[in-house]
Amino acid sequence: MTYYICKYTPVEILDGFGEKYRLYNPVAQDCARADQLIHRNVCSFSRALIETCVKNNSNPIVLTSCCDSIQRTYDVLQAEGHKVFMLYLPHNSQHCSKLVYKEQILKFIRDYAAYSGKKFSCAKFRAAFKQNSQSVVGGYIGVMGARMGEKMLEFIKNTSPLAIRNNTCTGVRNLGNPPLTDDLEELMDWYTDQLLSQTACMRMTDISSRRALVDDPNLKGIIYNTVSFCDFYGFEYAHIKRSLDVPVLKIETDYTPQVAAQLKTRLEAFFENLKVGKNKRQFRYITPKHFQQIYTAGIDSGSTSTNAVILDSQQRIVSFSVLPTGAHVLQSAEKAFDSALNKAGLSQNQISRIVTTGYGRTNIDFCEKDVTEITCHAIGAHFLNNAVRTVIDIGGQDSKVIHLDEDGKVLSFVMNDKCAAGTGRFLEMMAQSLGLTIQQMSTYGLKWEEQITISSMCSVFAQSEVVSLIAADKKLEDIVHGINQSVASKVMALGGRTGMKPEYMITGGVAKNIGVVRAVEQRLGSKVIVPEQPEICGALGAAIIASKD
Amino acid sequence: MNKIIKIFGQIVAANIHYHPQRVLSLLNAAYAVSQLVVKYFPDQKLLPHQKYAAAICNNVIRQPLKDAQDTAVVNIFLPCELLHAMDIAPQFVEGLAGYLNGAGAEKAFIDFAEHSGIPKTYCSYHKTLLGAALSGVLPKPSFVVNTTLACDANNLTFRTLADYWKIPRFTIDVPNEYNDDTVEYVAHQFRAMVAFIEDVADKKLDMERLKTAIRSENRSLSMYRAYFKELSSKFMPNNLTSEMYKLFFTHILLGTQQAEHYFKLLLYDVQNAAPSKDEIRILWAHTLPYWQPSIAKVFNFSSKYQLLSCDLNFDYLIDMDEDHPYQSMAQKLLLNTMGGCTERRAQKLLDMAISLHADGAIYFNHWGCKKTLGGAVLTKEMLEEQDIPVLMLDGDGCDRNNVNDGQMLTRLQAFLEILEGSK
Ligand code: SF4
Ligand code: SF4
Repeated sequence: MTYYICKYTPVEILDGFGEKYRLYNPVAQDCARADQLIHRNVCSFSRALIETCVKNNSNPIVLTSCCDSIQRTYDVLQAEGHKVFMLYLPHNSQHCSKLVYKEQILKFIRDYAAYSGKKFSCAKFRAAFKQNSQSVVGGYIGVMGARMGEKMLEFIKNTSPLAIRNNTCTGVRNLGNPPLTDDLEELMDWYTDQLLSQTACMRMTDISSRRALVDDPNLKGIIYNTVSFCDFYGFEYAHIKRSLDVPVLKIETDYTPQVAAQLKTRLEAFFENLKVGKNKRQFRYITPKHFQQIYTAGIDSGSTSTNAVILDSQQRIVSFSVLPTGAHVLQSAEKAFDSALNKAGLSQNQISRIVTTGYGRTNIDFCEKDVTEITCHAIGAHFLNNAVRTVIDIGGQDSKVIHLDEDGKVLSFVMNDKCAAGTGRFLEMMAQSLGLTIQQMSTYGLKWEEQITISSMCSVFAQSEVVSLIAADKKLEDIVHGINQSVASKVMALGGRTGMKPEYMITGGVAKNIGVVRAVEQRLGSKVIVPEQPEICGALGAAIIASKD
Repeated sequence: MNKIIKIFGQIVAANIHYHPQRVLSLLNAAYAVSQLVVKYFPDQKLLPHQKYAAAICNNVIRQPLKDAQDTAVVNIFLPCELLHAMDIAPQFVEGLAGYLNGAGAEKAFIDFAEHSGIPKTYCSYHKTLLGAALSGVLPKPSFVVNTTLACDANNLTFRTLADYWKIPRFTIDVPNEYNDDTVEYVAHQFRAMVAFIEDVADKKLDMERLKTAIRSENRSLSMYRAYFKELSSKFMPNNLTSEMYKLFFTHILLGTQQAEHYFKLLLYDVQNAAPSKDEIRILWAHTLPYWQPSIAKVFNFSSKYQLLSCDLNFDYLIDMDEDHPYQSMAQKLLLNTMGGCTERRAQKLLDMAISLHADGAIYFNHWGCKKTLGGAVLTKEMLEEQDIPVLMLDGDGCDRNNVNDGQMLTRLQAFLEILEGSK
């Protein structure tokens, strides 16, 4: 089977080779693999495409250079060793553009022959053109905008009170009848002309033929489909909204199943209205006896908690503190520092050096130096266990995966993007929706029975997914387990690309959540070291830097 | 943000809906003042070529705002030799958006664009320009011309502009494959473009003037290549804004006297720069968030970090052939590293990293630039295979509201700490 995605693809050529082909509109359960191969902010369709192509080994695939995201998808699939054919698609349909595209098609015939070892037959090619016009009489609803998955389209067809016309970008494909000739050049002249004269898609320079689609008195309503992170159709939607007075429902697809589920409700409402382990080093707490000791401190000013660690000159932990970060970074840091000093029975002037780290690190003025959390976590983790090569730090607002060498030096690191998925904030939001405390969250998931997948990576969507799971009367334990799994998969997606190596250590507040730790272990297929006080790892690293300087 | 700029941004936001003309006069006044400032009170830390750039760029943006007669809105990759030869002033997306950002006004325009239905996920340079046009602030030019290189945004924006202003538009379609046929295809479009401009601007192209422009361009490019050669062993303080200004000279001003003078100064400055010592040398991919104080503080006039160049400033450095101007322009587009596959852009970045002795590269994932975002992982891999460490930095080159400043700074500093650690 050969796959293709765009209506400008010369698929009838494949008929000429006697091949089977299919328009590909894959929906992906999650995009864990795609997340490692391409940035999250390219269009969701291309991410789903990468995910499924790589997972299902959907080979070969024929792409056109239809948009920036698909061009990059081509680069990625190609680099992954996929068999991909790419045709450069012109942006206009003037005579010379047609010549350029014809050359592309002729090249495709040569390449495909070489790839498949088959011979191209003009007769078979000609036989491929059956008329597939959408015969709709009377009032109808136009589905417009970006490509739409078959299931969703089916659902719309089955629920709509009026007939449906698929006018999405890949929906309208109408070519005429080929001339009765076996002259390849002549056939391809005709074919290119047909392909490029179809109702234009939004990427084309001249889109007047698209505008004609909405000038139809039988058009009674529009379901306008957009794809998240694809910009083409937002422009057309704005135009339609401004200039037409038929009811329009805008929906956004991200090619995941749960979004489809959410959309169903909205569609129904629209129709209703239409009416028509090892080497673990223990913390050694000591009571300071000799005040001649030299002490250093590290303060980690994080978004949720501010932590301080005090070390003596033998690099033993004298005391530490973990306090929530308040509205004022500086005050919170002072508080955490004071609390650690109190515990140690020390006063501030006995501390010879202070190093700060964390988000608020630069706002703390009573320190000698500030260093990023990345370096500090690495040093802290190496200190706690020198076998550690990968630190997974899941904090309140962000998560990081840090790779170390045997000396504890940072080799590389990755950090999550702006969104909350896979962070403490995400777990908090979920706990709130479930009415659980954070403590309950951390153990509930261990007693799961049914495997539930929270497929949305976006925390906003995940939250509504959780709400619908509650409504579906799913057991809390199972939902929590699903949430833990989703955090773990996010961590894997984050760290996977560069290859995570054992030993693993998990730091940051979320490390106290046993459910999440187990889920991470399961994905890694390996034990993960959880330090006794996972939150203070960054502050510890900072204190060590202070003691060495 | 500077207080005055903040207040200015608020005034713009308050007036854009009902008094677009007032906003335009305000902008004109503001740029006139900054023109005087850069001319008579330039920042003394700036090198001569940087001072010169500040003054020229301001003027390039201001001219079409003052008098839109004989101006065209273009995208940065459009070869402008033809426009210069016909005395048509180009106004380009990234430049104008950058200046509106400099006036603290980008948010008002972005909001306006988004309310008009432009997707939130769209490139913020384009959103800013669209907001300025759709709100009626930006004066209507004579026509728009764009290439389909390097991104989809060009097609969408320029169509919207032409529709809104009801003015003629010409698009140069650039395939991503280079061969004799595609060169001829694009060259043919340039010929058609000349006819188009002659028609709408009611002017005739003087071939001699075009050749003069091309000769000047070639002199500029040869000085520019000499500059890079020198830079490989020199330390020359840079700042994010000046690196963005360079875009004017490496793109839309190429072929003008100003560009030639700029490259002369640039070469002179690098020849007089100190030899490279133990600074950390950074190459940058894509546009720069020059407006972000935290990031700017790290690089601007730093004696520790040498910001070498952003890759948009070496996307095409080959001479033009004055006897075959249209073919040359076609080649310029077809071989531009911003077109074609990811590998092409990454390879150029890698070559430059090696020749400029970069210690690391920062790949700036500008929000909404699918082209850049989509190539991020592959580029990082390609460079790291050759031992050039890469930091992927997610941010926004234009929209202040779209960044996580703390996180960006942390990433950046951690990366620099790693580089310092391995020096
Ligand atoms: S948007 Fe246009 S080019 Fe892209 S897949 Fe749809 S029809 Fe093809
Ligand atoms: S930043 Fe990217 S999307 Fe924006 S104009 Fe430049 S190339 Fe196009």
